[in-house]
Order: sequence, then C-alpha cells, then structure tokens
Amino acid sequence: MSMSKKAALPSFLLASTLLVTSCSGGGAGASEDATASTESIEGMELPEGVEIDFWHIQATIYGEAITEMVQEFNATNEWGIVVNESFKGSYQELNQAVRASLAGGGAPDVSMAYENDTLEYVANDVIVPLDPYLESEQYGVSDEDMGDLVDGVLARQRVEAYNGSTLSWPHGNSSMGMYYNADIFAEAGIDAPPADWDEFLEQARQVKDETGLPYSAMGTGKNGIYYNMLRSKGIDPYDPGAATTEFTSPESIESLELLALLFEEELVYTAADTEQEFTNERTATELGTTARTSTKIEQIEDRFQWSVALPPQESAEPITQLYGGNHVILSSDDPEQELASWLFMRWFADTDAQSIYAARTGYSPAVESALDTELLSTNYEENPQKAEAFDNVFVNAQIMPPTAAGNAIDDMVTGIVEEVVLGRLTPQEAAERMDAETTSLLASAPQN
Amino acid sequence: MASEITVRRRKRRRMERLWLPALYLAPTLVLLWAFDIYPIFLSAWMSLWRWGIQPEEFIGLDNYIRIFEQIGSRPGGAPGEVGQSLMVTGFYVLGTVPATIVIAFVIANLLNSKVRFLGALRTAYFVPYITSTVAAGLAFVWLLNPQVGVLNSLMEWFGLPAQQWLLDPEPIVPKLMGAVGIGWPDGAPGFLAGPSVALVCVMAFSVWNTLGFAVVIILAGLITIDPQVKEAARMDGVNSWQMATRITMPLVSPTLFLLLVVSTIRSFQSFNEVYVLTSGGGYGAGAGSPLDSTLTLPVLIFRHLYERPSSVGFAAALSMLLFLLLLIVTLVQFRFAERRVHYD
Amino acid sequence: MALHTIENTTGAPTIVRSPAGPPKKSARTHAAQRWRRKAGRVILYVALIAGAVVMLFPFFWMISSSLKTFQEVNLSPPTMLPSDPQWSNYAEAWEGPPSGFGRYFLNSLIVAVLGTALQLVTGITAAYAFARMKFRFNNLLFMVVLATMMIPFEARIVPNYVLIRQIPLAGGNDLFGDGGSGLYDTYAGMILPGVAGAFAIFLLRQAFMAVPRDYWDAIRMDGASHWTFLWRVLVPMTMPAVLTVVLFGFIGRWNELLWPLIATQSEAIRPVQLGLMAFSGDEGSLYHLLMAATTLVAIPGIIFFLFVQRRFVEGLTAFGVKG
Repeated sequence: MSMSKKAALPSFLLASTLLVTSCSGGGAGASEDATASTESIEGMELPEGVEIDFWHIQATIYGEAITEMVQEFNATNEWGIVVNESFKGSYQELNQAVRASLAGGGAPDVSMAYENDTLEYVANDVIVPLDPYLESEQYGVSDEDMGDLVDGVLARQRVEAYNGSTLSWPHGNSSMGMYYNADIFAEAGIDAPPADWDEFLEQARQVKDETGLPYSAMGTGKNGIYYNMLRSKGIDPYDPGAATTEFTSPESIESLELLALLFEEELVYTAADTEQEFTNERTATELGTTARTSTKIEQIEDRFQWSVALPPQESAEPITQLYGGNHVILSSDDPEQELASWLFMRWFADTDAQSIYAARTGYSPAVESALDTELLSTNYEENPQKAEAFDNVFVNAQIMPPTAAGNAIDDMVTGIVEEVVLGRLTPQEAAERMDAETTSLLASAPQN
Repeated sequence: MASEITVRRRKRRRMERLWLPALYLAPTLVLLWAFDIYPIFLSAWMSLWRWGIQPEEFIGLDNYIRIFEQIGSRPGGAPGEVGQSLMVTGFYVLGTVPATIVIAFVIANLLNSKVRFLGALRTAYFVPYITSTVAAGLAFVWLLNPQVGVLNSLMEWFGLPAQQWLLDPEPIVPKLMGAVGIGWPDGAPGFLAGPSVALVCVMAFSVWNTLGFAVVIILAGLITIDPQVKEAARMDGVNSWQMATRITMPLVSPTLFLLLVVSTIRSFQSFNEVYVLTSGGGYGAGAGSPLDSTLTLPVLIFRHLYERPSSVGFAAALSMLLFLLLLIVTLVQFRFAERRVHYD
Repeated sequence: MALHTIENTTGAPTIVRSPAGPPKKSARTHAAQRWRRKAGRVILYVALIAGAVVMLFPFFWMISSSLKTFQEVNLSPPTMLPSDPQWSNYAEAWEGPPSGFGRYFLNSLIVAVLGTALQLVTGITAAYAFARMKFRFNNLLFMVVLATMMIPFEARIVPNYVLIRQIPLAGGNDLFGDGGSGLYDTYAGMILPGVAGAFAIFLLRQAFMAVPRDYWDAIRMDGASHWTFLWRVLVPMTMPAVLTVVLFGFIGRWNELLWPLIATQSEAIRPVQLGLMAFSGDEGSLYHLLMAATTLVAIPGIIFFLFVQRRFVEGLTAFGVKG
C-alpha cells in the first residue's frame, strides 16, 4: 500500500538528517581551541545582563536554599548577571538531561557534576578548565581565599586524573560521620565514641550485653563503610593511576573479618533506612552522611542526647569519606557566558553563599570563613551537632581517587561485601575476587 | 449508462482502498515514526559504537559479544550481569502477568454483578493504579520493614519466623523447602531456586499496583457482553464456574488477549517498581539490590546508561536485546492466540 | 504474519460454545439453590470488601501520613493515625514548589486534556483503518505499530529531545531546524511524543473488530461513508473501550514525569509530577508534605475515574446497543 511510503518519506528525510547531526556530535560544542586563556580573560568587560542557565539536583530545603542564593546573587552581583536555575530531578535525571542537551543543543552553562561525570565530560571536550580564571588578576581567586577552602574540598576540584587542571568548583559537601546516642552509651557505661576499630567491636559487645540493643545499623550498600575502614588504616582500596588494588592486604582482610564478626554476633544489622533506626533509638550508632545532621536535629528534638564523631581511625592522618557534588562549566563557545558562569560559581563557593547553604541545610561550608559569619555562627550555636559535624568530621574528609570505573567497582564491592556479611564468602575469598574484578575493571576503563 | 456507473463505482472503490487507509493512518504513522520508530533505528546504530556522550569508536558487534560474555559466569561462579538480569526478568514476567490477569478476571466478574456500592468498590480497586508509585512504594517499604513492619508482626502472630523481605537476597524455593525440612540439593541449577525473597516482594507490589488497570480493561469487555446471552445460559442452569469459563471467557477473549500482550510488554519493561522499592539502601546501593537479585533488564540498561562510563552504546545494545525479546514473545503470543481468540 | 486469521468474520452475535446441558430441577434443589445463592452473596461481599481494604490501605496510609508532623512521619514503629492532624500541611504543600501548585495543576490539565484528545482522535482513525479496511500490509503495519510499545523508554529520550529542539520554524528555528530552541520548553513539546499510542490503537482495534459486520453492511446500503459509520455507529457502540482509552490516556499524561522533566526548563509550564519532586531529593525527603501533595495530585484522577465508570454503562444504554 502506497500510503506507508508517502507518510514515511518526509519524516524519513527529517530523521536521516537528525541521525547525521547527532552522530557527528553536532551540538556537542567541542571547543578545544575556544578555551579561554588568562590573557584573554584579563580585561574582558562583561556587558550588563548576561544570562546563564544553571541545572541542579536539589529539592526540599536544599532547593529552597539554592533559590535564595541565586536570588541573592542576581540582586547583588556587580555585572548584572542573571542566573536561571532549573531543578533537574535526581542525579541520573540531571545526567540524562545534560546528555540530551549535549546532543541536541540547549546545554546549561553551569551544571552539577560528580568527579566521575566530570571525567567523562572532559574526555568529550565539553568542560571549560578553570585555571585561567583562577589565575586572573581581575576575576580570579586570591591566595588567601584559596587557603580559606577546606583542604578536602579544594583537593577534589583538581584530582590527579584531571592531569593538573582544575575542572570544577565547590557546590555543597558532607562527609561520613559516626552518629551516636549518648543516652544508650551512658546506659552501657561508654563515655566516648570508639577511637579505633577494636574499640568499635568492644563497645558493640558492651552495648549488646548491657542494653540488648544492636550497636549499629547498616544499609544494603556497605561499600562506603568498608572503604572507610581501609582508609582509616592508612591505605586506599585501589589506585586508578597505577591500576593496583589493596583488597588482599592484611588491613582489608581484617576489615572484612570485622564486618563478618559484627553480623555473626548480631551486633550490627541490615536496615533499609539506617537514619530511621538511629532516630527511633533502635541502635546506638549510625555511620552516615553528615548532611543528615539537620534533619536528625528536627526528628530527634529532645528525645535523647546525641552527637556526631569521626569514625574510628588507626593511622596518623585521620580521614573519612567526602560526599557531595561540584559545579562545572559546560562550554558554550561564548567567552562572556563562560566568564559569567565562572563568576557565579566563584560566588557560590565563597563565604556569603556557603554560609547561607550551611545554615539552611545539612551541608558543611566549603570555606572556613563562613563559620565567622553571623548567620552561620548563630546557626551553629543553636545546632551544636552541626558544628561538631564540621569540626570533628568534615575537616578530615577526602574523596576517593576518582576513576571512570568507579561506579562499576562500587557496585561489585557492594555485592561482595554483602556476601561476606551473609556468610557466603570468607574474607579471603572475597578479597581475592574484589582484587581480580577491580584489576580488570580498571584495565578496561577508558583512560583520560 | 449502467457500465459507466459501475466504472465510477469501481474507481471510487479503488480510490478508497488506496487513499482512505492512508488518510486514516497518516497522523499516527508520522508521529510514531518520528518519536518511536526512528529512535529504535538510532539505537541500533548506537549499539555498534562505543558511545559515551558522543560516538567514540565504531566497534561493530562488540557490544553484542559483550552481552553474550556477560550472560556467562563471573569469576565467582555466579551468572554475569546480563545473565542475572535475564533470569530476574523471566521470574518477574512469569510471576506477575498470569497472576494479575487471573485475579483481575475474578474481580472484574464480581464487580460486574449487581452489588451495592458498585461505584465505590470499583474505585477502590482502581485507586492503586492512580496513586503515585513513589507514595505507594513508601507505604510498602514500611509494611515490609524487617524491624517494625506490619507484615513481620503478622508473621509473629502466626508463629512464623520474621523475614528480611526487601533486604533478603536468598532465593525463595530453597527457603520454602527448608521451612518444611527438605534440603536443597547441591549442584541443582540456580534458576530452579526461583526469585529472591526481595524480588517476590517487588512482584507482589507490582501485581497490587497494576491490578486496577487490568480490572478496568476486563470490565470494559464484560460490559459489552449482551446480558441476554448470560440470562439464557442461566435459564439453562449453567453454574457460575461454567458461566465464567464457557460463556464469559470466550466472549471477552479479545480483551484478555490484549491484556496479555500489553501486560507482558509492560512487565518486561518494569523499572519504577524496582527502583522505588530497592534502591533506598543508602550510598552505593543502587536499584537491583540486594545482590542484584532484583536486577531486571531495564534496571541494567539504566545502570549502563548513567552509571558506567562510555556505556551508552552497550546500553543501546541491551535495549535492542529487550526489544527483540519482546518482539519474539509477542509474535509467539499472536501465533498461539489465533486459534483461541474469538471475535464477534 | 499470523494476524490474518484473527480478523473479523461476519456473523450475528452468538454464544460461542454451548454450555453443558440443563440439569433436571426439583422443588428441593430449588430451595437449596436459593439458600446457596444467598450464601454466595455474603461470600461475595466479604471477598470484595476485604480485597478493597487491601487495595486501599496504601492510600489510607498516604492520607494519614499527610496529616502528620515531620517528627511523627519519621517515627518507627509508626502511628496508624496522626496524633494531632496537621491540616496546615496541605496549605504548606500547595505553596511549596517554586510556582505554587495552582500553576502546576493548570499545566497538567492542559497537557492531559489536549494530549488525550489528540490521542483519541488519531487512535480512533488508525484503529478503524486496521480493523475495518482492507489494504496491503495491514497486518504488517499493525505489527509495526504494536512493536513501538516494545521500544524501551530509555532509547527514546535523547532522540526525542533532539527532534523537539529541531522542529523547523518553531521557537526561533529556521527552515532546517537550526538556530532556536524548537518546541523545547513548550506545551507542544511536552504533548507531541505521547500522542500516537499503540496501546490505544490496539484496544480500539480489538473493540471495533468485535462489532458484527452486519451493521456496516446495513449502513452501507444507505450510502453512508466510512467516516459517518465510524463516528455515528462504531464509536458509540464501543463506548467502554473509547472511555478506557480516555481514562488511561488522561491518567498516563497526568502521571508523566521523566519526559516533561527533560523537555522543559521553566517552572511556569511544568506539570504536577514535577511539582511533587520539590519534596523529595537526593539529600532526603519531606514525607509529610510529599504525601499531602501526592494526595492532592491523585484527586483529579479519582474524580475522572468515578465519572468514566458511570459513563461506562450509561454510554451503552443511551444508544440502545448491546454488543
């Protein structure tokens, strides 16, 4: 029947052109040569009213804080830059929207991104490196202000895999802390959170004996806690640069044995929502993100005494996991847009904005000077646990070295640790499997 | 004269045969081409590439070879990601589609008889379909909470052991056999052990969630049945069972067939249910946990699309696999149904 | 293709298989039968109501949670009913998202009504062609249409986005679809990809095929066209199917989430489901407000269902036709 051809022909033509454009990566805006240099930035005058799009993943109080900050920036910045913020759903949804826009046009100027995404973006030449801006006299960041950034937060903007470039700038950060219920501790005769993992086990047994309660609840993703154990013993689980792993090291086996023991003796249990277990006094401690400090304050009210401490440490240099996202500039081939984006990002990571963000939400500020602002110092006085989260935990936080294979390794480790906890694998078997799989994942990951 | 009319009529008829269907179908086909068919061609094309944000390298059939490799075993002896997800998807479809249709058929029949509060009852059965999956999912997560959930309280009340429900990756068959004292034979193939307890929970949620859809579809079919047909049968002394199987079933068979096809397709594509119920495990526990025992094929596609580097091409190859699987299953359904479905 | 065999054949509506032969009746069995029928009734009610309770429980849970405070909604074990109902949650939820929920409702209504209407019209004509017209490749084309249901959603997102942005002469685009933003961030962009629905066509085709051919032959004698027959006879006769398409079309549109999220940017045109997202994010959720907003968002769907299920029966009797 002829109709099928007739109806299909024009749309086929239309579609074929699309196929060609999308396959040649037409809209992706690869802009190696358009990259700004410090000289070209210096002396550049921004016209009034440059508009930039900013995509983020923040809802609830976080979204409200962002709206407040963007309004503040739009009202006060001296160049008249207008930021249009847009909430793009969960992290995967944002990712999807960015990918679509890179293929079809309409990409945002500033987007949130984790290191793994940044690595993929930079491999596709869609990221604007920030070093020329940082070094600029007129628009840069002074040495003093650089020193103001919390160490771990600055370090994650220029990780090794970026080959010496700074590719992102801070958004909001949190870290893995150890929440503890001081009332249950007191009942069990414990006066301080554990200093090392042996004490962790000791206290766990003590709490079980004295109160009958389990010591801690863990989610189905136990890889973060296991990584934290390894890093607290002074080793990194794997090194993407050298493609080596430490999964079969004595420290790793020791950590897996501890996890297996904790579950075997029912000192720790698996829960869907560990925060709920902690705030409802069914467990003495919780290893979780400090971003939840503010919601815990609201939920717990005066029902019991609690605080947050650094998870156990066994080496000279205390360390814990750093969480949260960053901002990146997606290249638009328009130096003015890109400069305006940078100025917004710089402002976002600076004292005023970070004090708003930290006061309104559970994130810790990226700069120490935010603590001196009236807004945040008052807020921390009223909410002492938030101050403790910063002082005890956050200043020690560092991210794991990012790699394109990071998510795949995390999923694999999560699965294998779960099998250890369920008693299906011995720590030794588990360690060997993690070692083998990580080695092959690192080898097959795209190198940047 | 007469022949002229015949010629004109024949001409008109030929015109009709050519142009009328074209006209009636044009809007649909244009839109389907642009928004559905063209993307699948693009997907087929992408599946031949290593593709991240842009095409990176043309690799021919490598992505498909990778699929085959990942059906096989991982270092530890467990099936690879693809093999695992095919098994999970199989359990999921077989566990939800027949159950949904049978339960919906019974309920629709009951709701089609003359009962009081008919409107309210019908609405009650339809409400879960309207309720957002997220809200309903949260209610289920709480019902199934191992520590304080209602279901474990019920288990206790009946003197049964409390369960981990959504957190339990253990397969159900050995578990049930163990409960009645039969051991699971060593070396029996893994798929015989059945879905994990967690997956069974997700399947139960899915049946609950889509039941309203199936009930309404069947009701629409039942209502169109001439009441006189049933009345006549009743006069002949047909009992309810015979009525359902011998009268109603054949008369709504086109509807049931449609429901079978559509439910199967949806079931193969289920993502939201799994995502809402099993990805709440905190950092590092994505959808498909625990231990990938709820990793349906769409969840695996999602994983490769967003959480793996340069895996868009591989995700496209997986999409093609899902598409082809569905095509085969649907064709088989049509082939088997042709003898059983009664139109008129 | 296997489809030809299940095409419509002519013939008056008849019982397909004859039931088992009539049993002999006596007075005693008569009384027993009446008693049995009564007992059956009781069982029927008990079963239906028990089922309804199971089905409704999560909905009840949602409403109960929507009236709790932030503290109470996070209590575990939870309270069955709110200790002090917080009706203000609804006001807070209504004001919660950036544009306020009123705007989101209006947007969703526009998208749902227009989207459903377009789907219905295109679906009815396409289903009619498949069910009632003889042309080459009928079955093949129908299979192609059906196959579009099997395309994973993830495979469509990016191509659809690219297409929407490159629609010629829209949103500042030139004739070749370059230069502007096309239908991105417009109602049309949100609506178009979902208009052609294989499910709607499939459902209507099944319904149209079930109508005996006699009706067509009769009206054909009077010289009526396909168009008249379709809209005057076929559509009224298959009202339950048509209403089912409308119902699912509307609800599907109302619940759409991912595509509007990708296809829009300004809060002013975003639909209700995106409004709901304001209460739940990667850094935690405000369940009490989320549940209040979810309840509000579910209400139009429920009203729509009540309306449709009543029309289900009325539509048939009004035209005096019975399949």
